[in-house]
Parts: sequence; structure tokens; C-alpha cells
Amino acid sequence: MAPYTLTYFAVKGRCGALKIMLADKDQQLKENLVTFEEWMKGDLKATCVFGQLPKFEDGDLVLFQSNAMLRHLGRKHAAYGKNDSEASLIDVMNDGVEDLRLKYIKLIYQEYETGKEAFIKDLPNHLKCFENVLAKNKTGFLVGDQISFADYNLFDLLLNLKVLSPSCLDSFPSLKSFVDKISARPKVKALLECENFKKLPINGNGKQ
Amino acid sequence: MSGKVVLHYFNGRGKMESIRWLLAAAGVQFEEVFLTEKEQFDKLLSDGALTFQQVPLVEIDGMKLVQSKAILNYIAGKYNLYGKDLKERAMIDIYSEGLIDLMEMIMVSPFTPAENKEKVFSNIEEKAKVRFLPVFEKALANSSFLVGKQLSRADVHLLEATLMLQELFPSILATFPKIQAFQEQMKALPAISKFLQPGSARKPPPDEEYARTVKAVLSHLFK
Repeated sequence: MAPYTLTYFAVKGRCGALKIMLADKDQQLKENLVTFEEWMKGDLKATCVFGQLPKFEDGDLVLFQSNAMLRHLGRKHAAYGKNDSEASLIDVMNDGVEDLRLKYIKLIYQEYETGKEAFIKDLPNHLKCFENVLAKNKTGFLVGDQISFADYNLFDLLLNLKVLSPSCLDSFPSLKSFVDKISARPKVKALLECENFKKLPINGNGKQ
Repeated sequence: MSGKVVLHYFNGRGKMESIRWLLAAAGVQFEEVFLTEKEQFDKLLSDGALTFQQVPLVEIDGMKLVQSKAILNYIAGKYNLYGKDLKERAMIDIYSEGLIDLMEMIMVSPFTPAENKEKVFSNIEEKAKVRFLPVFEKALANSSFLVGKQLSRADVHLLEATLMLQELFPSILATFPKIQAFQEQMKALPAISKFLQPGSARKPPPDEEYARTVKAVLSHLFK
């Protein structure tokens, strides 16, 4: 039996980073794909904490909330820094990624037609924060000298943003290098080239 | 490393209030620097203290930490409010994330246009009753704490969140007896009891003055 099980819709959505991280850490993942029709019946929803997917199982431990999952896997798979100070900074970075992801989600699901232009125009203001951190750290990672769950989360979000605005990283050399470097990690590369992963839409409404 | 803990934020709840609650629960004294003018915010920016151009900012253990969830994680870890093992920590994360989601819905209400307020409050009440409170009522069915056998940050967040809900909807806990009992038990803890007394660092519900100050200091976000 696979050590981990993920129950989610057939989209990358909030689980892209988690899948990339598990692939890179050479961990098996069993996936239960849920259709929107199944979800609307309400039986599964009733069993989910806060009535939301994704649902992630690590043996008898059942997790909800995608960032709680990332943190848990970070702790288990040495992707949460080398000490308390690094762990705190990784939390800071991950929360910064989450802030930007929430803005992206709001655009995709609520304001795509009316807000896309403004979002893309404002994007450099958000990206420069991460650019500055990477440029200052000089290791190719957000914090310290090894990959963390915040790196996987930022990487996943940047892939989505590049689909939305292909030139968005052109003026951010450290971010561009960051994406290239993580994309080239053998197991990440294999996942990104895998048909099952490639064919998944990014979002549930077809907008990207 | 010790030294004083300093909070940089507005003189109001916002994203700093959960940090005040957690520090209080841990028995940690702190100082506050209130932002009242844009120049103060700009100074923090130019000093490079605000990685993501946002407050809260907390000075603790020689670090200048930003991002409220990251700050809460650090405080919880340092003061033994984060469970005894990986499993407990993961469960505490789940409950904490949910409670912060709920509190953030309430937090933005002072900045909601008047014509949308009724709809926003109705949505908060509905989600609290249907999605959030039943989860915590169930978790407290056979335990005094949400996770494990000792106080955690999740318990502190639950008390804060339910008190916020009661300010808006006084009878909202009528059908949640376990949460009511939990509240009483939490209020009896000396550190919490002290924080609930008048004159503590706990902030009142946001008013027009608070909203005006935030909009003035963060004028670049309210164009």
C-alpha cells in the first residue's frame, strides 16, 4: 500500500506543490480522484474537516488544509530547515507564497475577465519580494542551503503564473534561475513530463 | 536568546490580535509600537524589515519576523503550545488554519462597503454554524483540549474566534454545549483570565477610527 493517499479533484489546484515535493522526495502517492458531481452529492464533503478537499492520509493520520499537509511533509522529509531560525523563515516564505496564491485564486475564480490585466501589471510588485530573498540568499533556495516545502510551493505557483503571463519572470533573474534549477531536479523533471500530471488542468474552472 | 518582544502594528485587532492572545496565553510580556502614520510604515519598509511589504512585524529573539501565521508558529513552538509530536502538530496546524480562515473573514468586515455588510455577516454566521463550529464541538466531545492532553495554540485560537463570533452573533453557541464549556475552562486559566480583564493588551472590536487609521497608513492599498 502506498504510504500516502490524496483525495482531490482532477486538477493541480492546491496540490501541485505537494505532488512535486513527494516526487522529489521519492515518495509513493496513491490518488483518489473525485468528480465535481460526486462532490456535490455531499457524502464525501460531510466527512471532510471544514467541508473541503484536499484530504491527505498518512497511515492513520488524516489531514486537511493544504499548508498543514506541506508543513507535515516538510517535518517528515527534512524540508523544514536545519534549526528553529530556518524553520521560522521557511514559514515566513510559505505564508508569502500563500498570500500570492490567494490573489491568484481570487483572479481565476472571481475576476478573470475584469481583473487579469491589473493582476499581471501588479505581479512584479509581489515577485520582487521573492527575487530579493533569492538574490540575497545566493543558494538557489529561499532559506538556508537545502530545499524546503516553501521552495516547492513557490515553484508550483510560479509555474502557474508563467502560464498566465509567460514573460512574468523575464526581469527576475533569480526567480528564473530558481524555476530552471528545480525543474531540472531529476524526479521533478520526470513528474513535470509525466502525461498524467501534464494533462491535469491547473484550476477547476478551466481558466489559467 | 532573550530580550523584549516588540509588536509593530495598528492599535487594533487585525492580524496581530491572535499573536497578542498567544503571547498572553504563554505568559509573555510584550511592548507595542502602534502605527498611526504612513511615515512609520515607510520607515519599516526602507529599513528592509518588511519582507513582503506587510505588517504585522514582531521583534523576538533577535529576529524581525513577519507573516502572522509564521509568527504564531514560532511562538507556539517556543512556548510548548504546539503538541508533543508530529501527529499532534499536524492536527494543531489543521485546526489553526481553519480558525484563522474564520477570523480573517471577520477581520475584513470593517473594510467592507456598507451595502455589502449584511451579506458578509450572514455568510460568516452560516459558515461558522455549518462548517466550523461542528468540527470543534466534535473534537471536544471527549476531551478538554482540541489536540492531545495539554493546552495548544489551537485552543487559544478557538477561544479567540468564538468570542469574536459572539460579539457579532450573541446566541451562536447555543447549540454547541461542548464549546461553551470549553470557553469557561479556558477563561479560568490565570494567563487568559488576566488577558480578558480591562486594561490588558487585548483590543476592542474595530471601529471607524481603526478603519480610518489603517486606510491612512496603508493608503497605497486603498487607492
